[in-house]
Amino acid sequence: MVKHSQTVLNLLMIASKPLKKYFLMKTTTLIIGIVAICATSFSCKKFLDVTPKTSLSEDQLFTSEAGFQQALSGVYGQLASSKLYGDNLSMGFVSALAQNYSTIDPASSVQLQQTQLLNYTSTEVAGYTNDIWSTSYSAIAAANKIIIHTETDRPVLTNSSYALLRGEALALRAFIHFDLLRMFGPEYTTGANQKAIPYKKDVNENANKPATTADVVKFALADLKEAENLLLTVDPIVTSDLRTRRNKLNYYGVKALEARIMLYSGNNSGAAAAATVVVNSAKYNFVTQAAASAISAGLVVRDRLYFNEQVFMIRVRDILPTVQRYFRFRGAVSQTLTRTPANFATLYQTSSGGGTDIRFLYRIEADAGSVFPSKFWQASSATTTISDNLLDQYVPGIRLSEMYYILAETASTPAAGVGYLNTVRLNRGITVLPNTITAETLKAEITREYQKEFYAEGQLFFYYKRIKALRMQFRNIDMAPGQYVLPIPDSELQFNPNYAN
Amino acid sequence: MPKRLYLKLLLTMRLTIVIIIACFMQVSASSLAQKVTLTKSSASLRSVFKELNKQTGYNFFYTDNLLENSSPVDINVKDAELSAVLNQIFAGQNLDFIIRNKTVIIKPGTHVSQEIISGFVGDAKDHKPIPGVAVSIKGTKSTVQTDKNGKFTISIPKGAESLEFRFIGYKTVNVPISANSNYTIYMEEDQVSLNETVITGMVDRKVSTYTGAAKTMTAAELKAVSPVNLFTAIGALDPSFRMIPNNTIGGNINALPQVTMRGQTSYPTLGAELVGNPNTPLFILDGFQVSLQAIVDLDMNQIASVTLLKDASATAMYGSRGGNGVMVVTTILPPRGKVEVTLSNNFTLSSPDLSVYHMLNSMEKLDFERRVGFTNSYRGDLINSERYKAAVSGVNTDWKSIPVQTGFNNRTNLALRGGDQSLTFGLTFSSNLLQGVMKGQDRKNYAGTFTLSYRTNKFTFQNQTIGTQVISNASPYGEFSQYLDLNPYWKPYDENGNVNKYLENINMGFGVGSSIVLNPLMDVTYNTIDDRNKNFNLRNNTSVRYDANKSLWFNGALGITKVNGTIDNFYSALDSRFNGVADLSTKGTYSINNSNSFMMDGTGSVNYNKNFGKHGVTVYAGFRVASAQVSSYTVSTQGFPFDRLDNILFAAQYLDSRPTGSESTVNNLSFTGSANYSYDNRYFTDLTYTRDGSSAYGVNNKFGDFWSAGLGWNMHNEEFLKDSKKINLLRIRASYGSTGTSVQDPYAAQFRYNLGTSTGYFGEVGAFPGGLGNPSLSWQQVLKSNIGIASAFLDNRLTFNAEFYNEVTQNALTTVSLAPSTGFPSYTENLGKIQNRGLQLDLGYTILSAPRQGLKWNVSVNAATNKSVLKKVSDKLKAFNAALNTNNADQTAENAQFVEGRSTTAIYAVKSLGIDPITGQEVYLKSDGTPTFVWDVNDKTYVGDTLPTWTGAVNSNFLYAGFGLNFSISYNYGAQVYNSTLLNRVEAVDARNNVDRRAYDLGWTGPGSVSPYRRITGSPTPTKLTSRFVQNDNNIQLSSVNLSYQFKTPFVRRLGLQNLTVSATTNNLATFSTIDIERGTDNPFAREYTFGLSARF
Repeated sequence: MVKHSQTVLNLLMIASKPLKKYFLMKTTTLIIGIVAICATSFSCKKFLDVTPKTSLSEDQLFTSEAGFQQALSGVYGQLASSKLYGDNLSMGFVSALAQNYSTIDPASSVQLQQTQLLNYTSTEVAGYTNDIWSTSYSAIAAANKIIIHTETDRPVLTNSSYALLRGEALALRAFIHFDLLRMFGPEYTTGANQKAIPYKKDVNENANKPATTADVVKFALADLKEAENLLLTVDPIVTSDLRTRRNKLNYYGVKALEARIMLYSGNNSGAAAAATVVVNSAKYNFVTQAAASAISAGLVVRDRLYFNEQVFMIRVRDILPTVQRYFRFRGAVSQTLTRTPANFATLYQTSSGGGTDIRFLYRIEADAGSVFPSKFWQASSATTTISDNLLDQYVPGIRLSEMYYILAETASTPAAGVGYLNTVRLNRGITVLPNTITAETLKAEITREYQKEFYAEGQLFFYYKRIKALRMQFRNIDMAPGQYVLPIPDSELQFNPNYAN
Repeated sequence: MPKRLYLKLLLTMRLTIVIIIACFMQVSASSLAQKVTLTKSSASLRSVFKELNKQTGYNFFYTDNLLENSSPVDINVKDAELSAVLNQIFAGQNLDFIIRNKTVIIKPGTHVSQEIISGFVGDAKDHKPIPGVAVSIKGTKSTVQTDKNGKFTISIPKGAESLEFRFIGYKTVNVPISANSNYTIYMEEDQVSLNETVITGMVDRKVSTYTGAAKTMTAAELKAVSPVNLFTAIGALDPSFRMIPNNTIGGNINALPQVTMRGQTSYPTLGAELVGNPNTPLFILDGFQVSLQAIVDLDMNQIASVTLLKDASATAMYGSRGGNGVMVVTTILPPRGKVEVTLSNNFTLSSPDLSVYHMLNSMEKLDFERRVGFTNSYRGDLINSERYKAAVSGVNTDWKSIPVQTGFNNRTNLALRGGDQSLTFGLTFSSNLLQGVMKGQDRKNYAGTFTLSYRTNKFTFQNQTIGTQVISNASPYGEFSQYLDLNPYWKPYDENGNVNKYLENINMGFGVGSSIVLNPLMDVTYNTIDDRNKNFNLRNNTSVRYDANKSLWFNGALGITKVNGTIDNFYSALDSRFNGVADLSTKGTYSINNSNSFMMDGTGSVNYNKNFGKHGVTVYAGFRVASAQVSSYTVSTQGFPFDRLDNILFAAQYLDSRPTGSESTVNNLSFTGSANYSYDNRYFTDLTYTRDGSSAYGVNNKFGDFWSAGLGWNMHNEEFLKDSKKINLLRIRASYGSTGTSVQDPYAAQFRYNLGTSTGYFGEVGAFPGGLGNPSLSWQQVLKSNIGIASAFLDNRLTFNAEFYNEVTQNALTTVSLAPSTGFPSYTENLGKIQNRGLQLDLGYTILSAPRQGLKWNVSVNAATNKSVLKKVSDKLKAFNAALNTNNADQTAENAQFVEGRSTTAIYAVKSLGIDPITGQEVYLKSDGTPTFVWDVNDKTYVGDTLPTWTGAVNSNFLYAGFGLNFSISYNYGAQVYNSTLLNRVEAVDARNNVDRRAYDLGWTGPGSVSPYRRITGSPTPTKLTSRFVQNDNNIQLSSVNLSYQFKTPFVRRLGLQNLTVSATTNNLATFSTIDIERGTDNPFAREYTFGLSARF
């Protein structure tokens, strides 16, 4: 290429002067010619490297640490979108699957009727699963790009930012894959070796072979292991009490996720060990009665999300319109996402001592004379400035209480297990259970706790799936095992040839 | 001041100036006696002056260069007066002198006296006289004509240099005026092959030794077919150039036509990844790439010639741009040595072609409704009686004529061009005011061009600045077809001529449903702004040429184009589209789209052209650097309560929370080398190599290599044919090579990240992948082979040209759907293979030729066939096909399918055996050959192709004594079409709307009835995609008739004109077709009647 430009330019340079004068002007021409050739061959490559102005090319983005950070923020932003934790994976789709809400009127603007009926062949459910599937993989692709570039563009990063960025990206990859597995893959004990979902580690146009459930777990745990090693030394949350780190998949978030995944795959001791790390870190405290019940003015609102218990939480900036659409009373219970007062009484066992539960007292509130779950009830809007005092606009990712539940479930004896459960119960304002209860009762109590704690939060359906619950609360029909596995979206089956055989 | 004083002053001043000038030059001066004795032979003037000065004492004032061209002096005088001696000396010189105060001032001679020249003009072949030849003196207006004996007499003023002889049908002759010459001129007939060179847009090539397939058309040829529509004219003259008929847009003057050359090299646009129409040829205007729109907006009176470059030899120079063929347009250059003013005006009436619509009248429609069963209810009966009342009171509205009009179009072009040998200029203004056949549809186009050219003996510098302003509006009446639906018993206007808000407002009370029909004409009254497009385009082209010697020259050119456009749309709150919207702040919308583009195109080249005896060599080497930037944004607002508040600033709020828009930049860099070698004008070859780089290509493929090789043989120059009277031209050429097309999104090759607050997180800016880039993305390679024959027989009266070609697109771009687990929905890839194979024939015959009587009649027939075949369809595209079918299990309209071995324009439908006379149901043929009543998407098969097998035209050109009659008939044969308009108007009709007369019989009426159509009922079921509505579309169109007259010189001379031509043309006068189809559903087609006037001063 350079060769060509040289030849042409040489000819032109020669040409630019009358031939008879050429020999006289030879030196000048030569100098101009050389300069021009240098300029051209230098800029040739550059001239053809045009980068878009309304977007950034990959090469531009990963030239600085700030670019890496932006790419990572993009993944979190995707996680916070309404297609994932902003709605579908928290208060919306998965909560509706878990029968958290009364039957929704088809005339309601809330489109979750077929979801509540577990009608997986409906276009409504197909729409949600398709959104969750494609957005998740889109976020995974973004995380993969970061993971790849932390290696290829290693010199751009300092050691600590390398560890932090790569660690978080790996952890996110595991986190999102695991959510997909819980939704679209079979339950572990019966389907460990069944085809589940593709575990994507590269970014290209090729559709991967779906990995088995066991493999997905294995890959996710491997990613978490590497993330954990990277984060342990550099994550500020380990050494300080930085609250903003809870918005990121921090070191303890990685450990908590590890506990969650290990429990899912039946590795109880591993789950307990990981949960213990989180519990023992003493970074996370249970909410106080006072904070949970505060009657406030202005932006400092009642702590309905139990902020200090969030091991990992996701900030959803524009949560307000979703929440208003879902929970704002519109004249009839069947128009919004709620349950009847009687249902709430059943859920929180008010007739058997649950009336003092702060989750019932302060998070089942009345709006225009109708009760509704106020867990996500918002005072802040998308334009509210972020501060440490901001208690809303968050969606829980992993709670401290889940770690206690894991410890309770994996404890060697029911007596040991009930101790962990009682810690949560005490902090929720309800009476402790005797340490003489049977393993069976303990299991039932843990289920109750999951139902109460994760109401409208999205974890409950997956808990039911893990314990192979025959019936979900408030649903009068038995569950067929297949109903815990959501169908893989059509577009994937159509364009991923590996699913066919 | 008295006149005399003036003169004196002037003289003094002149002298002063002369003296002053003389001071700077070589001056000789001295003084002595008066009588002169002198004997010299072949002496220089200077030495004679010296001698005279010595003898007389008179000073001689002159400049050296004045004497440069003087002839030597022979003189022999004794005691003669000085003045007599001087007269004798200056007799043979082109010099003059003045004697003043003992000073002889030498000045350039002016004393060539008025001369009378006479002569004879005859035919070069038989030396017979040609009467009526215009003989003019170049640079002046004096013109005479030869008499019937070919004789002429003309008086020549001082300073005249040459004579020009002009006659239609003969080559113009220029003869320098010299003393005592014998003016016997023999003029040569101007042969049909007037195009001696092929203009490739980069370098001009001799047509006689060029291996490329190229077709050159002059402005006169084009205008004879259509004086207002360039593409129509090209299509008639060269059938490989095709305007894809669009039945929806019809004759919409604001819609861009879709044009292709030699078929389609790309897959149709499936998604946003492909830009524009991927099959559009490349347009080169005066050496620079321009858009299709720029060619559409170009005034035909500016055009000098159009060349279509088709095969590899002709297009490989354009590398990745030439795959779809190249159309090179040149504009008229200012003439040298004279100044001329041309004025032309075309007035066109365009009337809507409504001949294909046959709708029912009021009474028929009511009868139709009754038979369909609309009156079988209390409600239906009541509505029917109201309608019947209207019908008997005489309401019979012809709705189709309401939104249409006869458009008046006026195109004016005024040009002032000319200059001397070194400096020329051109100044052109044109206005093009068009009205469409839909009311309110218009397009105003104003353009100004300024050309300045300066030439020294080595350097030529030229600069051209073109400004174009276009303002256009879409019709506020909307789609034409909606008016066809309206029933004739409805009244659009009340007694006072005001628009009725309701066409029907029947209220029955008692909770029984009423019938309310709104009048679509109501919205037209609301000051709507419908696609008001304002576009300003400024182009500046500069070129420099340096001629090192006769055979070596260098070119440099830089073109800069800036385009700014806005599109406005306004609908007030009153518009019917906001019926049912309560919130006043959301009623009424206004949106503005603003687009800017900037294009830079620089080229440099070396050209070498020399003959060494029998060897002829032409070499071209050049580079090109180009950059094109386009950006646009749209702002949409809402809340316009009142229709007169038609400014965006009256908006209550934004419609969308943020503006939308796009940006793209494409940089190109290419190097081209091309060589032509010919031996003895018999054998010749062309070689081209282009290396082309584009920023739109992926990093793995930044540069592409394109090349071509061609061979040719001029058989008519061989010994055995050289003197043949029967075979005048026989040239065979063949070429093979690779070119390309780049049609991808400028950034599709890059992995891009979008940034913004919506992708951000926790107060941090977030970057999120916007598209999976394909680093291997590149041009589509088109391999072209071509064999061509050019021939002329029987004294050049019969010409025959043929081209056979085979073009294969190797790696056509396609959008492929991805498994969502990749993280991306789709992706652009080079993986298709498309073949175009075709033949083009051109036969011309001169029936009459008597140039001396100004008589000439040429007839030509051309034909082209092109077969487009998808050679390779990827698995991903097959999946796309399957998805299209499974997602639309009940298809009523055709959709694109990609099947190997078929063309991209194939039609797929379920084969139909017709309507069962017993049941009235349609009988389909399953793919296994069994008949069935059940329509199944899997039984879809190939049933036809919308691309005609043969297209072409018959052109006739008749000239006699200034009269010209030209007509052009175009034909299409072998195409099929899915006649969806027939389906929707005759069978699957909504009986509430007006229907075609053919639906009157209601189709199948009962057992035993034989009808091609199903039964029409009050509650129709859609007709699924069936071969029953696939029809052969063979048609013949009288596309143009043109009559012109050029006034004879003596008459127009009295008006002070050099030339005056009047013409009348009609386009699309008649169409004969094997199918009855509604043509122009959104906008009717137009029949055009153009009257033209062109004058040159």
